[in-house]
Amino acid sequence: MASRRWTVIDFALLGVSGAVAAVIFYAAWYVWDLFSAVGPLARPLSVGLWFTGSIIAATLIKKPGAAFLGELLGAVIEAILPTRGGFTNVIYGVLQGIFAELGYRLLGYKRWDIVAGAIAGALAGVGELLATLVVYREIFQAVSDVGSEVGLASPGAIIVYWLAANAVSGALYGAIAAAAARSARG
Amino acid sequence: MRSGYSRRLGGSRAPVSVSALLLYSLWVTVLAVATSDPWKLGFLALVTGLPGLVLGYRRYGVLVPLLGLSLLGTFLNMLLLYNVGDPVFSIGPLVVREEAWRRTVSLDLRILSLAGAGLLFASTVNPRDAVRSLEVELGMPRGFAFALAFALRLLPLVYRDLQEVMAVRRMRGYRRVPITPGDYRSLFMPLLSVTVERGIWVGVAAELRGFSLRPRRRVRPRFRRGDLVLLVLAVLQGLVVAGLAGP
Amino acid sequence: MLLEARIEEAGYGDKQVLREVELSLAEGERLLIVGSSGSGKTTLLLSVSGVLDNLLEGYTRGKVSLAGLNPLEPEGFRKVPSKAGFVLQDPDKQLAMPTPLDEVMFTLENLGWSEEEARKRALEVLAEMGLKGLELVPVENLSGGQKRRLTLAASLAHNPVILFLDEPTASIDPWGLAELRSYLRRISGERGVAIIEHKARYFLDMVDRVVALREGRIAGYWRPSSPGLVEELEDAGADAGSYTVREPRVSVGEVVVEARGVGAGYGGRVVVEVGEVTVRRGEVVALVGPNGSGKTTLLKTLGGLLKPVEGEVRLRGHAFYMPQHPDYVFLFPTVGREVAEVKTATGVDLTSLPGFEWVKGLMDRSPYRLSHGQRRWLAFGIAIAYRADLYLLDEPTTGMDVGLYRTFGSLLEDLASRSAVLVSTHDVRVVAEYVDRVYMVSSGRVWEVDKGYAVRLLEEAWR
Repeated sequence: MASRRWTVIDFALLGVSGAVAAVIFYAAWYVWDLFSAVGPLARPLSVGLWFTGSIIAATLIKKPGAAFLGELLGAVIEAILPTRGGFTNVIYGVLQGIFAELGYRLLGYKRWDIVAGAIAGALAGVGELLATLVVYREIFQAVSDVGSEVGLASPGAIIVYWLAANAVSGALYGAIAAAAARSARG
Repeated sequence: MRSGYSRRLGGSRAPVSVSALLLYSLWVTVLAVATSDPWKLGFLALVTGLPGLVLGYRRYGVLVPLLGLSLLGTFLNMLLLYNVGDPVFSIGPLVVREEAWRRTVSLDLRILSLAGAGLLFASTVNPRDAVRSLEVELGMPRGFAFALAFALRLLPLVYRDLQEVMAVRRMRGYRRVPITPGDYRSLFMPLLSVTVERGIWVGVAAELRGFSLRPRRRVRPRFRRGDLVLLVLAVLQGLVVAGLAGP
Repeated sequence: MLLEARIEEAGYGDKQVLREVELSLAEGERLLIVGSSGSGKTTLLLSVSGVLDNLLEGYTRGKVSLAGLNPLEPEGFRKVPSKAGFVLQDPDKQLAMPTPLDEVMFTLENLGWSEEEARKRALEVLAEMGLKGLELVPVENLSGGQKRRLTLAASLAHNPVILFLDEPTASIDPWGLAELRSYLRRISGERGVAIIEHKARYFLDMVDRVVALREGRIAGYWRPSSPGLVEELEDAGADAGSYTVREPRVSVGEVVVEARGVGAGYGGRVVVEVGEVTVRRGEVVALVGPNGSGKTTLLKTLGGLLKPVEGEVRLRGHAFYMPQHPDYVFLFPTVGREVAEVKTATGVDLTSLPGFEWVKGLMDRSPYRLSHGQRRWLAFGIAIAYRADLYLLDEPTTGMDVGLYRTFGSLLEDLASRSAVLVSTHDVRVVAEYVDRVYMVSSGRVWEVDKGYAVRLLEEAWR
């Protein structure tokens, strides 16, 4: 790609990514509910779906800012569709977008392949953790209180599990999203 | 996914302006995230959450019962995880204790307030008014505003595509409910490739219709009488959460 | 002159598409540019509008002057939209906004109109194009013909001095085509209009000049009245001429699908009431009728993809539904995987089917990166491999030039020798040349009509 300036085609592709991401995000709520039946496995199995907006946008557009804007746009539409999360979706979108963007930045904005998608997806999980720590801190508190009481897990261990689950899920869905977006863009 | 488009051809005649409603919903979201106090959250849930849910139920139906399930789920989780402290009440043989109850109440009231704030906006504003006021009144960059409007245009189209792809999967004898990552890829690839091709041509068409000449337009938000009510409610909830007033 | 182009060479990267093309268009003139797929028609439009050089990774060597601007330079290109209007091929690939009102206002606001003026003008243009009352309806709820008129409204609202239309007949029914023709007559005036189209015959009676492109070069210029034009245009790959009405097949087999007293629709709402529809093995049956009349819903109901709202469909054997867009048929990332999976599922080796030798050379390609014609062809091959008892084809000839149409015809003949085939189509050629019986779908009902009548009806509808 010769220029890093965004053309109107890039913005149109951002719209494409936003629409597809919104559908995925909307469906992700149902996937999440479904997997909640299997308890702690819900996270690694579904959370990464919410990071795919950034990966699809970045893989299609291949320019700085695409990962962040792609995740943000998907989240904005998710909020106005609407879903249960309301405008907290936007908080999640901003934080996940920043961390996914960081992934592409660390690769010098030179790689837009499946590996890059997996890395950015895994990093987006950090954003998800931060957002949840802010928005639903009671969940985390309850989990860590009970964890430390029965002596099974310290708050640190829970964060590590949480991050690991996010990273696995984000990398998996990130890789799939990148693969699909790469084959789609001729 | 129902799309709400108004039948109005002129400017909006709603009693509140889109920008004010958006700012209000965002403000309540921030307040609900900021506090953990069940009384303060209860106030937010009452003032914003409840009206939002009522409006949302009329428009989106199924979403609100689902929300109820999620509230119940939180309660069950808390019971399972952290049912300690003094007994608060009992349901048959089950004794609900203070920690579980307190945390459930805070969390559920927050979820209610957040969902209500979102639904309040989504069920009273149609997407095209939202995009317009975001661009013109709140200064969203034109590129992002274009992407947002185009994405809203694409949603029903993507939904139609999805049905076609599912139809072919069935004809070709593949699972109707996708399970493996490969299934998902085979479902999304046709969708993405068709939509991407559309996106590229829409970009070309938009440029041929002068997208890069589009002037940046800022209009001072025109506030309406109803906005004053929103302002009063916003300030009131702010004061309550800050602990300067109320319960 | 509104347009003067002297293109020495144009293309993408190292792929040259156009060579030595000269084109001009005067005030008030209507020009028809014809040529088969791959002849460079669309590249020509992209080149003279400056898109090729400024937006896509292509190049143009030569000189272009468009209403006094040089579109090959970035500064000139930016100003092109204020002088020219462009209607591109597929409405779904150019309508960018959620509602018709927003779509037209988008053009006007881009060009500096205030919100109030833009709204006023947009409502006026939408009314002129017969879209009054639909201003705020979601674009997806418009029919193909309405979408086409919306693309016209959005390209004309600012009164450009020159108008380009790229295959405006794709995706509209004959009734929509008649409307399009009458709007084109009405809006011309002092404007220059260039129509790019391979179905030349739909516009021959209303243009001043005809240019044909073949393999990226000019194959000739004509006046529409010149003798022998039809043959010469057909030689250039355009669909300029007539067709023959073939006699229906006489020997047909057993009934494969039968619907009596069926209400086809979805969500509990009946879209089409079916008195009686039957399709037998060995025959090709057509469904004709306006866009949005429920032909696709009926096809899907007969194929078992939609449950009938009322009644029951009796299907003996397997059905295969081919959507209008060939991309939906592909499920795997490469042509090779696609061929392999088809072989596992059906035992048929696609590459050994007659007419599919070309597939062998493209095995590691993504099916989505094939040309539009190749995608249609391959999708059709996949359908054939499944050896279904009933084939349901939704508008299979959309966007096909004569060459591909002939190939499609022979594949269709082959299918009909073993299976029952039901085709939804607007294409009068298909009805005349390959179809045995015709059902008409309109105003929520289906009834059988005489084939000759159907051909006359489709033929008269667009004039």
